[in-house]
Amino acid sequence: MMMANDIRPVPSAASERLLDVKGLTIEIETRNGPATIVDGIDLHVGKGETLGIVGESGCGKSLTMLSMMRLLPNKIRVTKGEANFAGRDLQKMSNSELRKVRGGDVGFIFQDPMTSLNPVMRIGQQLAEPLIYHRGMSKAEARKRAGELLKLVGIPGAEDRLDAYPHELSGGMRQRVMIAIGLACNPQLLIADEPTTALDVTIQAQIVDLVKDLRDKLGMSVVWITHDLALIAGLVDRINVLYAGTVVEDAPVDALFSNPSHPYTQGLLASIPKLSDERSARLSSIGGTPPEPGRRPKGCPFAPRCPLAEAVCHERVPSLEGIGQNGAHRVACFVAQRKLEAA
Amino acid sequence: MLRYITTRFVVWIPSVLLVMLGVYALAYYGAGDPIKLIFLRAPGDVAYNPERIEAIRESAGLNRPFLVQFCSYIWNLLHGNFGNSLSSGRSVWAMISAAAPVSFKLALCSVILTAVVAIPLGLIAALNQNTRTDYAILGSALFLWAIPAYVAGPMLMVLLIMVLPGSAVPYGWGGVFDVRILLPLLVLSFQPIALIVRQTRAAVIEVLSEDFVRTARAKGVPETMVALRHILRPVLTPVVTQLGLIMITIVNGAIFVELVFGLPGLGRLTVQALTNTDYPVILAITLIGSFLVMISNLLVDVLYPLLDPRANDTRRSR
Repeated sequence: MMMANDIRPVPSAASERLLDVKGLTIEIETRNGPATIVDGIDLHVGKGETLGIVGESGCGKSLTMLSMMRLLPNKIRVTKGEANFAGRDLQKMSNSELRKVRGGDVGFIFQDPMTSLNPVMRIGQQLAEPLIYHRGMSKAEARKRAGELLKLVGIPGAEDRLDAYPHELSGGMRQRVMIAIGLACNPQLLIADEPTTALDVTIQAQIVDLVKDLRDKLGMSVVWITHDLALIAGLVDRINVLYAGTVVEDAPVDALFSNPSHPYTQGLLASIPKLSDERSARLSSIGGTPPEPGRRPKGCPFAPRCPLAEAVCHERVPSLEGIGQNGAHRVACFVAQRKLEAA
Repeated sequence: MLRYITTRFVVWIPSVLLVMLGVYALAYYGAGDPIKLIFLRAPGDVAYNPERIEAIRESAGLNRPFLVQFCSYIWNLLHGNFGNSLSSGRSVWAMISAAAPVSFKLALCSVILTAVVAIPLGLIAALNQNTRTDYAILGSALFLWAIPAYVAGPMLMVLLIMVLPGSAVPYGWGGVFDVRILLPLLVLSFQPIALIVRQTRAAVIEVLSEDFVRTARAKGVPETMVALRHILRPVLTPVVTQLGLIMITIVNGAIFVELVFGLPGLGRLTVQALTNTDYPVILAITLIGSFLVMISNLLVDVLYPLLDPRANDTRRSR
């Protein structure tokens, strides 16, 4: 597995953008009128690149990716901005055009394999669906391909498992089936929405390795959404740290770990427990909670919880500025940006 | 599976015996002497003669103690003899086997009509939740739910006879393919339709928020197929169970509809038997009703794994 990773060329920052999200604003209808959950987010994924999106629960990680594909309930809506996929704006597509993208050019893996598979349908049928609707395969062809896909994701006795129901498989096996579904039509982009959160630690590593392996084999781009920085360190090329619906730090994975610049990123990294810690040492955590949608502070959204916050942080919103790596490492923090200028 | 069915049957026997004992006791100790009734209703020239009454009572075995009568009834039953009607003297089995098919056909038609109309409407309402379509469907369902059969039946009959002249009088039974079945069928199905529409709608709304529906959309499955294959399928299990219950209710006694529309089914037979205190008939109907409930519960149990594969495993591990 390491070999495969070593051979794979790391996509350069200048490589062509497969997914380019610009100023995407997402609102939710509440009893007191619409509330903004994601406010003008910018992010992009290059061809063949693997992007990790990291942040606390409720910061808008999944929401951005899912609402972009219109996979969320009607009361959650994209109101502004664009999301270009392979040069076409997803927001301007009709439902039927978007349907062709979903499951065809863009594959998904979801968080909970226990509930994400249809309990009353055989997994062979569930796997065959994208092949039938996107590739126009006959049932027999789709079944044959479904067997191959199960083999690809490492399910033992793949062909016999086609007639199994989801409840007859373990959690890890079900997530492998989900991955097989996501990859069924050789997508250009795989969106993995916290795919390991519901799994045992040992299985988590297996799933990460499997996706890494398949990515290298099939050459697709991956967006991996998680709150677990450590888990994806060996998988992703670049990380976007999200806080309250905005990207606060965007950095190549090595730079992020060696030089975390946003106080929030530093807090996230510090809160990963280390085996070398004293047993009596208190676990580090970030005090407070993220702001609720519709109740954003005026300045930097992180300022109320930030140990380094200054007067300006409560007044103005910092923009994402390059601070190193030829502009590939960007951070939205006045303090961090000033530190760089002083140096 | 065979063993499971046998067990269910064996468990059913004592409970049905208990039910029949209760019904027998009610008929025996309750109001009304069937023999006296025969004389009271007879034309005037038949003399009210206590000796004759006693003679008939003795020949029918009605002068024996309660338990002896009950046991002999059960004994005859075990030999396939349901006895004779006290009021008409006809074989109870002949009466039942003439009436039951009418009720059964009526119930089957009603359940099919309900399923065909109500399940799609419930699905459409749920998919358009809180829109005008939804409110229109829900409102109509509530309206149907609120009309009792004894209002809807006569009103529709009046409408048909008075307002639409020339149409056949909807009275009597001519089989499933006779026009006269239409009106009773409608009246019988109003409330079931309302019930199933609301049940389907609620169940679909619940399934809509399931993760696997999102997965289906993320695979690019067209919306119609998402609705039919992914949403409707898990909804059908409770709905089919409910339809089974509705079927039993109608077979066992669509009393009012059968009386109003002159249908010779079990409902009308029940009313006749009750007014005449004709307990061989009452007991036979009770027995049939209980048997139907048992059979349909069994049927639901057997069909359940076909609708929901998870049910199969829990049964096996029990």
